[in-house]
Amino acid sequence: MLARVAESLYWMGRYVERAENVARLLTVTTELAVELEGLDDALAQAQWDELLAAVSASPERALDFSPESGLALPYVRWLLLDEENPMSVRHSLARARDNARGVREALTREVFLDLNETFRNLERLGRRLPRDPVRAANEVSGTHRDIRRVLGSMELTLSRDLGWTLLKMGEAVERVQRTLTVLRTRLPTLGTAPEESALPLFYARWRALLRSLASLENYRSARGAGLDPDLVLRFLLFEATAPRSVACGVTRLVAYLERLPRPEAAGEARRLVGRIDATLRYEGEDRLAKEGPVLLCEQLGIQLADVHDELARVYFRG
Amino acid sequence: MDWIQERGTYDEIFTADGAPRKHYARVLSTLGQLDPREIARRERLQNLSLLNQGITFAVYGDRRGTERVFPFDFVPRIVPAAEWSRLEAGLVQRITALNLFLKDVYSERACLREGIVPWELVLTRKEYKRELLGVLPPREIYTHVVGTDLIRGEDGRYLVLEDNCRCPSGVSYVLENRSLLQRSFPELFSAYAVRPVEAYPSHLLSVLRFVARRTDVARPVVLTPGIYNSAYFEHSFLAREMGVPLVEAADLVVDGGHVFMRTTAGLERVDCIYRRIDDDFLDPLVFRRDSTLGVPGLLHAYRSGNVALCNAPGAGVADDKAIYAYLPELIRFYLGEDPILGQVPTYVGARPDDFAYMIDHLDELVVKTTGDAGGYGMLMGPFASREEISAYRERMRRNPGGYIGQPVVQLSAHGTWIDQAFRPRRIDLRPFVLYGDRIQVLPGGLTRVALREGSLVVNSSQGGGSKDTWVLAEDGG
Repeated sequence: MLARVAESLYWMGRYVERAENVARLLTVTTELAVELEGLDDALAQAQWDELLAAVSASPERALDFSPESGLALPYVRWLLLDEENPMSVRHSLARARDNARGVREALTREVFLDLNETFRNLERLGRRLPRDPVRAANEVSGTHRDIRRVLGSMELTLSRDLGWTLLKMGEAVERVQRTLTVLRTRLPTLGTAPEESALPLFYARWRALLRSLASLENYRSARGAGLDPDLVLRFLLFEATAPRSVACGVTRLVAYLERLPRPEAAGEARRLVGRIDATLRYEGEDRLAKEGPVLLCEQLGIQLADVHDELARVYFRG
Repeated sequence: MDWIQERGTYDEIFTADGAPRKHYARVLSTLGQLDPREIARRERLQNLSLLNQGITFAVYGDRRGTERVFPFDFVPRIVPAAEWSRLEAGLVQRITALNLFLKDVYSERACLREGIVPWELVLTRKEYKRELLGVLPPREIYTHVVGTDLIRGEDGRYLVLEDNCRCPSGVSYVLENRSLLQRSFPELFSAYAVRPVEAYPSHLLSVLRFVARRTDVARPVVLTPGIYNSAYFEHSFLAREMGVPLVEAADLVVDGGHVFMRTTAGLERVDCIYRRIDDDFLDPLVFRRDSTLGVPGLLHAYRSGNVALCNAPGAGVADDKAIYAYLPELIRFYLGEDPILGQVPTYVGARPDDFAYMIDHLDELVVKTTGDAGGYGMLMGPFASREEISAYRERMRRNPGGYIGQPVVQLSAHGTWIDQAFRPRRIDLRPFVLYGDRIQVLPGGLTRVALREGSLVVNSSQGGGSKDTWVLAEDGG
């Protein structure tokens, strides 16, 4: 496969995943903020600020809060549609589409069609986002559904060849990075269980954390209905069956790396991923006790970035 | 529903006394049963389908790189079997002669020595690549893919307007138009035996394999200037349909006289390149030094016979507008046959008598500069002002050999759905011809239609659209 095509597919995987993640986070945060508003306005506002941190998309200029727009709408506009925001769903989908356009011969018609249609729907939405917050939230869900359809087409139609492996590697790297960043930014303010009266809000926020990583139902079926912060954290880090856990993503990366050509050149990439895998399997508890979750997530994120660099060096430069 | 007929020119659907031609009767009756609202609904779906599939072309000069849909008209253009077989024979004859001409001008130059074509018309053209003198392409084929533009005069006779021997585009629309029409108006097909077009990519692949040196393991690629090229959709479409890599220049590298592409598994040998970039941009070491689209060393690999280029570099000299005037003579010279297809009478500036006639009759003629493509630098005499004509005359006097003139030829008209009625609009036809182990003509081709009333310009960049083109398998009752 052409090195350029390999790189485009990898980035296409990353951008579609990024768009999905941001759309999901946007939906969950909208709902959580609605729940908190009135009860604790400052906390509601804080959810949005943390979301911006979790997707590294703090705007350089102040967002435009007009009285009628409410709290959510400016954030929705910024994270869903803004063309200047490099983390907006629109921007990610535009990049994914550019990458797809350059490698159409490596994709199926369905994948391109669904991706193109999703992007064009979003372009239209950019011209007429409803001002009513409920309808705006519906549009976010609609976009999220469109993106899941793109992912479904990839799953249903793409041949399980090298191209697919690279696409999925991009997806896995992006997803693990997002999980690590969300944990890193949310954990410091989630804290420990407060006194009785504040408990409902406390649980609402842990529930939102799980939902924002598509893990609430999975957690419940594996660990029961009770939300125990320690269990939630370990679930998101180490649970092999949870599709958005760090461990699950890293296991996928190990397997994908096995399939790449020229294993002799990929030794360093395998060593780097293997080290993260070993940490999660055998040293997780020790490192949590020693460093705490925030620092651990940060370090795993740095190690994962090195994996990306190494992949690019070996496979994308030709 | 109304069918408006054309008076001043040949109407494809209706005879002069207003009766539908036999091969259109069933299309007319099927369309007559459709409600305009139903038609509008299907047209919306067609348009959406084109946009969502990214079947678009980029418009040059548009800063935002807007992608536009090439408008599609659902009324099919129908060519009866007998009419087609004559066209097909004419095209095969023409492409055979063009190829022999190219081989000749790059080797023995018999046509120049014997005065069939004035030597300066060939040797002074920038399309004539003297670097390739004496270099025979693999299997001696220069023109692997040709798109020949045909029109029909007032009497309905097909005339060749021009040959495109470099990188003719449009074949992807031929295939997409067919599949679009089959999905949106399936009932039109039920009463006709329409010859299929979908085998084109596999035929093209056979051609590419045929000219590669290592035919058994040949690895062809499609070379594109990139996603911002106006025909990028087609490049990507053909690569996908053939199942071969679509490469950009930066993906290729020449080493030791061989061409390789950079892959995830290291460098891989390339045997044959269906290139969709012009000669001048192929290799910065030989042609344009400022080309960033090219591959340094590519021409060296080609000359060494290690890679086939389709079409062969230097083939552009055959579709020059001045050479066109000599094609009937060249067909007689190489093949000893009379041309099957007619062409538009052409005055060549390089002939003193012709030039004198052109200068005196500029207000009746279409004058074109030779060597240029795309309708630039052209004078439409009947539509030009006196000042424009005299300014153009002065330019012509400075370089008589750079011009040719032709009478204005009316294109035939074809019913086209516009504003709730079937209105006559002018059309042309570009069939695609492949040259490999034999010459094959894709049954049909791209019918372009000038959507503006009275316009003779069918180019997509100037308000043209397209139609599905049906070649019938048999002419029954």
